[in-house]
Amino acid sequence: MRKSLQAFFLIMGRASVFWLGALGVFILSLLVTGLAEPDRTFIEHYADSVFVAAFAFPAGAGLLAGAVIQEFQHTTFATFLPAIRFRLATGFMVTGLLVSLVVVGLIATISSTPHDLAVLFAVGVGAYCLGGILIDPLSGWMTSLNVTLVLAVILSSHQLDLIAGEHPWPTFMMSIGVAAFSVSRLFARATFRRKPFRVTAPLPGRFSLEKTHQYRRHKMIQGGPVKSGWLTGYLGQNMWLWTRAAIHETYGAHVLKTFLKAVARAWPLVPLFLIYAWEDKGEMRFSEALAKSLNDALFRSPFQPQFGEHGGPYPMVMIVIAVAGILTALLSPVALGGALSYPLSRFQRATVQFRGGLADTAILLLIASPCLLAIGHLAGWFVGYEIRFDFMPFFLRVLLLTLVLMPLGYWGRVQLQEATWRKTENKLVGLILGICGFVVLVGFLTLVVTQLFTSPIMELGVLSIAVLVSRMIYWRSLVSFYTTADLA
Amino acid sequence: MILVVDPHSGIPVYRQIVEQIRFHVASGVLKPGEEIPSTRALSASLGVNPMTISKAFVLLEEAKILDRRPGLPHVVRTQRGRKALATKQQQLEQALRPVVTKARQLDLDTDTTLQIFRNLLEDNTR
Amino acid sequence: MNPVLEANGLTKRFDRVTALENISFKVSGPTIVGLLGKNGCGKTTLIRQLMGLHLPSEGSVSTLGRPGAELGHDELASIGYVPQEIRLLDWMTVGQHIHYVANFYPRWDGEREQRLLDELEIDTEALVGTLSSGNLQKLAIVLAVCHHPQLLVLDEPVSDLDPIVRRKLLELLLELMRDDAATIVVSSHVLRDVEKVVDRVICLDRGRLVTDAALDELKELYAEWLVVSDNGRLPEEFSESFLIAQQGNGREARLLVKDASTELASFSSTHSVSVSVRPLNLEEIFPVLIGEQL
Repeated sequence: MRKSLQAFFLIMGRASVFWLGALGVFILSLLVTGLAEPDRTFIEHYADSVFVAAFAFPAGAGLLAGAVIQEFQHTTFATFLPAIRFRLATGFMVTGLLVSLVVVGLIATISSTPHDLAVLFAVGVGAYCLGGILIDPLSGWMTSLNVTLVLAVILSSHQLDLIAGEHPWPTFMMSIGVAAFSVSRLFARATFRRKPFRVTAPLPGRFSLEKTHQYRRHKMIQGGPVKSGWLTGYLGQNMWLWTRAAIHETYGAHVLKTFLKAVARAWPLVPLFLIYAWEDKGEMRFSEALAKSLNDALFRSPFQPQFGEHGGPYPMVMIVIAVAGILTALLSPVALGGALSYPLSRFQRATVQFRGGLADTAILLLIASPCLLAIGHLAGWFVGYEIRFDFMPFFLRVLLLTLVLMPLGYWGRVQLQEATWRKTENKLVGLILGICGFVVLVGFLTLVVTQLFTSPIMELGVLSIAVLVSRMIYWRSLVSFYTTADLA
Repeated sequence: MILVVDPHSGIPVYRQIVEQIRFHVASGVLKPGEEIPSTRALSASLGVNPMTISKAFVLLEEAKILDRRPGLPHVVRTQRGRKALATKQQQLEQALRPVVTKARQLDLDTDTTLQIFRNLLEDNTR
Repeated sequence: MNPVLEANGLTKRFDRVTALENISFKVSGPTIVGLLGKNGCGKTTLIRQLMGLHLPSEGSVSTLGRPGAELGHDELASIGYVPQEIRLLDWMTVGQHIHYVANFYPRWDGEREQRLLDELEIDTEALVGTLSSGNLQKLAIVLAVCHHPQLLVLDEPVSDLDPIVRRKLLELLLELMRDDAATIVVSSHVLRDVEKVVDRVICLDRGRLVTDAALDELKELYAEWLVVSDNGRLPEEFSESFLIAQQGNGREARLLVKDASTELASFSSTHSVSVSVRPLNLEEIFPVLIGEQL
C-alpha cells in the first residue's frame, strides 16, 4: 500500500500540479459561488450548486490526476514497470475517495443539503474517475463524448439534482458504474501498451516551448502529407513568402483541417446547448446564469456612474482583450531557425519574425475581437437583453492599448524561443506572472487614458501613433537582437 | 601468456584463441600443468563473449592440448615428445602457406625459394 | 528449458504495410544476439513485438515463456528495455527518476547503480529534461540493467554515445551475460560494436528473416578468394555453385564464396590457379546477408 501510494504521489508531487490544482479550485469556486459577479452571487439564483459542486470539484481533481497519469503512460518506460497498473490505480483511487470525502464534508458543513451524503459521495467518485479519462487516453472521439457528458451533467444539474433526490440508490449505482468503467479504461493493459505511441499533450507545468513545439510537430505529422501549391519553388528574397513559410512551419498545413475536425468532434454540443437553452429559459438555471454573467461581465460596467459619459472600466473587457493579446503574441510563429537551416541572414530572420507578428496582430484585430463581441451579444440575446454599444469606445481603447503593448509579448516570445538558455528554464511561473502583469498594465493605462483625454478624435490619434511607435521600437530592438545575440 | 584478439578480423575469435594457445604451448611459453585463466576471467580481460572462450576451450580439449578439471581452471596437458614436435611443425607449416602462394605468384622456382628461406634462417642465427 | 524468446510465424501488418512477415526463431540464454538490418527493415517492430508493445497480426511471439500481450509482474521484473526513442519524466532529476523506477523492482542493485553512475559519469542532480541525447541514453541504460534482468533488449543503444562510453556499454553487456546469465538482444547498425560482443546474429531484410546463425559460423561460411592464374589466363566467368559474386580482369579475380573451404583444392587444380583466402568480418558479410554484395 505504501509503495502504491508512493508510485502515484511521486509523479503527482510537482509544482505544476499544485499550481494547476489551485487554479482549478479557484475557477470552479467562481463558477459555483458566483464570485464573478461582485454585487450578486450565482448561488442566489442558482440553487443547484450543491450538486454541481459535488460533481465538478472531484471531476477537476480527476482531470488533473488523469492528465499526470496519461503523461506518465506516454513515457517509454512506464509500460514495463512491474505492477505499475495496480500501484497507480490504487493511488488514483485513494486520492479520489479522499477528494470526494472532503468535498462532501464541506458541502455538509456549509449548506444544508436535502441529499443523502452517500449519494453525493458516489457522484463525486464517479465524477473523479470520469475526469481521469475526460481526455480519453486513446481516442479523440471518446474525448468529445466525455466532454459532452460532463457538460450535460452540469447543464442539467437541476434535473439531475431532482433525480438524485428521488432515486438515491440508482444514482449511487450509476455513479459507481461510471467510476468502474473509467478506471478500468484508464488503467487497462491496452492503454499502457498503446499510450507510448499516442501523441500526448505535455502537462503545461514545466512550461517549455521546446516540448510544446514537439507536441505540435507530432500533431502536424498526424495530418499526413499535404500539397502546398505556393511552396513549390525557390522562395527568393521575398520576405512575405518566408513569413508564410514560418507560419507554415509553426502551425503546419493542416490548421484549417484541424480546426474543422475539432468542430466536427464538438457537434454534439450544438444540439445539447440548443436543448438546454430553451429548456432553461427564464428559470435562471446554469446555462442562463452563465450567459447572463458573460454578457454582464463583458458589457455592463459596475463602475459606470463614477466615469460619466466616457463609460466606466469594464473589467472583463480589459482582462479578455489583454489576455487574448498577450496569448496571440506568445503563440505567434517564430520559426525558420532551430532544427532546419534556411538560407536566411540574421537580418532576414528579424524581418520574418516582425512580419509574423503583424500577421497575428491582424488576426486579433479582424477575427478574435469581432468574435468576442459576437459571443457576448449572443449570450445577452439569449438572456433577453437588448443589444447595446455604449461600451464600444472603452472596448476600442483597450484594444488599441493592447496593440501598443503587444510587442512586449513578442519580445518575450523571441527571448524564450531563440535565446540559448530556453531549454533549461522553467517558464510557467514567469509566464503566469507575465500575463498577469500585462493585464494589469493594460488595465492601468486604460484608466489613465480614460481620464486623460476629452476628445475622442484626439484620443484615437494619439493611441494610433502609439501603436506605430511601439512597433517601430520593437522592430529596432528585434534587429539589434538578431544581429548580436547567440541564437539557439 | 598474452592473447591478442581482433574481433573485427574475419577469423572467428575462438579460432584466434585456439591458434594462439596452441602456439604458446608449442613454443613453451605455456608449460605443461600450467593453469589457464578461467572463461570468466578471459572474457573480461579480452572483452569477448564468454561463449566464444568456452568454444575455444572445448576445441583445445578435443585437440588434447588442455585438460578440463571440474570446477577448476583448465591446465596445459603434458605433450609427448613426438606429438610436441608434430605440433611445432604444424604451426610453421601454417605460417608458411601464404608464402608459398606468394612464391608461385612471383613465379619463383623451388630452388630459389628454398635458397631465400635458408638465407633468412642463417641471417637470423648470425 | 524454455526458450527466453520465441517467435512462430510472426507477421505484423500496419494498414497496407507488412512490417514483419512469417518470422520464426528461438533464443535460449545466456547469449548476446545482434539484431541487424537496414533502416526500416523491421528491427524496431520486432523488438516491440517481443516487449509486448505491439501484438502480432498472425503467428505468435513469447517472451520469458509468455505471450507478449500477457507479460505480468514476474516477467516484467526480469526484463530490461532500452528503446530507440527515449521518453522519461523530464521534470524529475536523474536521482529522483532512478529512485522512482527502483521502487518497482524487487531485485534492484544499488551498488551496480552507483558504479554505473560513476563509470558513465552521470550527474544525478541534473533535470532529466535537460540531458543531451547521449546522457539520456546512458540514463535509460542504467534504468534497464540495475534489477538484474534475465532479458535485456536494447534498440540502437549506441547511436548517441561517444566511443569511450560505447566500450563501457559493451563491457557491461558481457558482464551481464557472465554474472546474471542474461539473454541480451542488441539491435544496431554499428556493426563493429555488435561484432565485438554478440555470439549470434539475426538479420532482417524488408520484414523477413534472412539469417539466423552464430557469428563464428557466418565468418567461417563466407570468404573472399583472391585468385591468380598460374598460366596467365582466367576464364571469363566461373560457374561454381558456391560463388556468390565475382569480379575479374582475365588475370586476377576476386570471388565471394559461401561454404567453400572444402572446395578450395579442387578449384585451384581445375582452373590451375593460386588462391589466397581472405576471411570476411561482419561489416563485409552484412551486405551479402541482405543480398547487396560487392
